[in-house]
Amino acid sequence: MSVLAFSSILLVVSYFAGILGAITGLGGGAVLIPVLVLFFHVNIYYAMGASLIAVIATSSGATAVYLRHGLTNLRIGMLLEVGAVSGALLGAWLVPSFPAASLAILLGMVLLVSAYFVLKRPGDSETATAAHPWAQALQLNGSFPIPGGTQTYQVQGVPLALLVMSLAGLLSGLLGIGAGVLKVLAMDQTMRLPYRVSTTTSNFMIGITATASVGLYFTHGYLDPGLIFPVLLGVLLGSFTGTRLLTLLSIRTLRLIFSVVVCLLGFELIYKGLTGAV
Amino acid sequence: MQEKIKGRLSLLLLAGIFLSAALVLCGAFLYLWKHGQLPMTFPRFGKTPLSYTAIFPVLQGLRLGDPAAFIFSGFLVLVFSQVLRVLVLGIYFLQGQEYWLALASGFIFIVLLYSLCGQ
Repeated sequence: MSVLAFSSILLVVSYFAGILGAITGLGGGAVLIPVLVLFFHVNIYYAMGASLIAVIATSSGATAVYLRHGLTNLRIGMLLEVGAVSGALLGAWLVPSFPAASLAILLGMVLLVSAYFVLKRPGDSETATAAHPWAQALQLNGSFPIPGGTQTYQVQGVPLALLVMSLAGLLSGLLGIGAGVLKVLAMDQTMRLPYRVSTTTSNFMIGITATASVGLYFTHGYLDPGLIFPVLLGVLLGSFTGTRLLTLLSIRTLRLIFSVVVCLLGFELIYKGLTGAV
Repeated sequence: MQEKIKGRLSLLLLAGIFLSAALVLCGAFLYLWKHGQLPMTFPRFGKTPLSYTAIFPVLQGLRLGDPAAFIFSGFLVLVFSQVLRVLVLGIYFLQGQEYWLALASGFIFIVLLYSLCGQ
């Protein structure tokens, strides 16, 4: 295979990763790393570096559109980022001390757990009726447009969500993913935000979290220009397409797509990690 | 006011995306022109020593017309648009006298700058 053919294939794969990342709020990295490692045999550290760039590109492309739709909650996003960026910096700092196989197994497990929790939640109508005191003090409660008006929501579980965000940041830095899965989970289940608000706010956040860790990947030399350009361009295009699809697909479909894809890739990564094929 | 800041942030991100994509496209074109027909050897990823591990060498490479420097500068533009959006939000919260959120933004801004420039 020539460099041109490889770049073209990676561009197409990144396009679909960008679509998935934008519609689920997970950032695309969770798909991109397994694909690069399992199918293209790219060193996992370099795959993680490329994935972080994909996460930032997805976040930029999707957030630019979602901000205009009025779905993103900026206050929640910035508050929770305090925990996320701290964890991300620590995670990226720890990367060189972890062997590749351990990272693959850990990533596989994170993907499986994420898929389980996303499928587990029964519906989208369980928004909270009473707000947490921090949410009231910081005016975190919000509203978003629905057909024929707006729907308001109250925010719960702020301290626990901050804690989960620190863990999400740690995993983001350590595994090169956006950790959007954990972020959506924290906002969706702990803070009881509507699913679309969770995914769009997660999209807003993942770019900032990934930026906190990508600097260390950059200075450690874990970024390769041959991977950066197809990933960055493909994911940017994919994220724009994904933002258009978000309003067309049902929440059940979004969750099903997300869960099936990450489950398959998670099992494959664990298998390869255990057999030393990574 | 909230709608105004969302519009500004959206514009900032779009500007970052287009500038970054333009630089990366230039770099990709030059890179494929030079290396496109070479056979892809998968182990090259992870074994190639990289010289672009700081901002200054990237700028120097850009002046010399190196394809990799164009790609890295596109990456840096994308990354710094994230830093800028945190700064813009911090100023917005400060103007609105929302000091806790302004403090949170300031903390995030410092962490991002440290990650990118503090090594």
